[in-house]
Amino acid sequence: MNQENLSQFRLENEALVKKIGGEFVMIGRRCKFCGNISLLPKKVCSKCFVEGGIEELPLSKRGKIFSYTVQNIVLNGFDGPLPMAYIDLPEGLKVFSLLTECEPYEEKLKIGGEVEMTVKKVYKDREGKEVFSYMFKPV
Amino acid sequence: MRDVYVIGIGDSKFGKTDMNLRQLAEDAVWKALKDANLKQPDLQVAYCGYGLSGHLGCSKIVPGQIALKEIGIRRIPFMRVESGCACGSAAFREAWLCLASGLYDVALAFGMEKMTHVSSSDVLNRFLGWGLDNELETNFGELPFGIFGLVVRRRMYEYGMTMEQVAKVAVKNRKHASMNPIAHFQKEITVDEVLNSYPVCDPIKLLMFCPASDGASATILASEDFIKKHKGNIPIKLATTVLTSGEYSYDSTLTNFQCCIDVAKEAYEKSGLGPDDIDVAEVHDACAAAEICHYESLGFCGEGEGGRLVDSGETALGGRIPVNTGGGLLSRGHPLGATGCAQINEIVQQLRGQAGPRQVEGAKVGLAQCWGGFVQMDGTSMFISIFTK
Repeated sequence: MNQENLSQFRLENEALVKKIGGEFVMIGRRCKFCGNISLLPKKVCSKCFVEGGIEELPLSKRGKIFSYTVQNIVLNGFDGPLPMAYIDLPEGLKVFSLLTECEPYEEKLKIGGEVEMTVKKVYKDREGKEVFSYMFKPV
Repeated sequence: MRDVYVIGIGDSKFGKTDMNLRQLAEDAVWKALKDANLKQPDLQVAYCGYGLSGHLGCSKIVPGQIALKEIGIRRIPFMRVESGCACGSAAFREAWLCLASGLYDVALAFGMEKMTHVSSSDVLNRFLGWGLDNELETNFGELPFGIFGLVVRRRMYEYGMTMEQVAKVAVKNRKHASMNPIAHFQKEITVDEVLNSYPVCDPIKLLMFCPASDGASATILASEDFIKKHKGNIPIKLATTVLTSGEYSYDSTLTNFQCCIDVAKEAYEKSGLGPDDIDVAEVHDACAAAEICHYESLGFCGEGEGGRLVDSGETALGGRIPVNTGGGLLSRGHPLGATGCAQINEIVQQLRGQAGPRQVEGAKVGLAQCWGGFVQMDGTSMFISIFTK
């Protein structure tokens, strides 16, 4: 995706993906008091319950497939089948994500397989507009 | 807290029916009243478990009061509760609180759902697909099927669980359902049929998932004071009922669900009973693989041994610990609001010795476990009730 086109893209959740140094990265939230990492923005840590310590943390682009599946039934707006995985990131958290560029599945998908984050179309909204976010592809 | 008993149960037929919500609820509640030898004015408080039929064109608000007004249930405290797949369990727990606290002596818990009058695509897009966290899951295409797909793949990797073992759960529960007159599906199926059904979410097949069903179930509870002076069907004592929510970790093992482990521990601690005491159990088998996880969280076998427990036949009728003798969600069917009460009603029939061909001989302790909502590889509402004869 070109940087110039960014303004035209609708990101599914702008808090989760940001462009840093010309590259999209996933953004986690780290508590500077207890070190707990999560995804969604918040004021108070869900682990130590302290306010004011949540900082944005750019997450590694590479992770490993902890488990994967291919979901053949999808909601309106999505193009099935949807390969998806629980991705183990080096920061010590696991995240759910769709997978892309992973066919044939039998060859490219395996537990422990290395994957890299990219940004792709996730679904089309009710007005037919494409909505983008993070996905992982096998390395 | 006071001791509480179940004194009346009633279920409509589950499955695809022409009955509307009111007719389904009236059927279940009237059967429960007759079973308890009570009349409508005896009910002092009522809770209705109801999921999302409101999104499918049925009552959107105060559905319980509307469903029961024509049979004369009125002028009492009456609330609707929602807890995903476990609405009926939530209604039951609220009713228990009312009696255990000493506030009332007779309470009605019932649940109802109408799901078969629209297409399965409508059920998915207007209803089922929205049981997860929009911000992290649903808007990224993940449905409950996907969570189970991830769990099954990981369990195959960690424990060597096989899809044949998962299929055997579906076959077993269908066999149990063939003996349950209210069940949605009553025709027996084979392992091959299950394994060759549509691949909903690789490696899980269609017949490993529960159907969407119409149905209603009602359970009447009473205090000890009340049952001492009342004559009805055999009262069954509630040893404990517990509820917890999820951990929502960013580091799930995907081999089980934290809320299931937590709720079982609490239920056993509060009842003073353990897995070896349980003679019969109803567990939340929306996916056949979940039943295998539950064997482990409930302590019916060790961690990772659930698949082999299915192979052994010990969880089938006639085995050491029969599970889902009513057919489970897989084959009795799954009208969301009703399921929690339907599970409890099956356990009550078993402990009364009134389960007919499904009877577990000598059953004295029964457990009903129900799960509502999936978020971040965990459940959001996890209920267990344990009953003793």
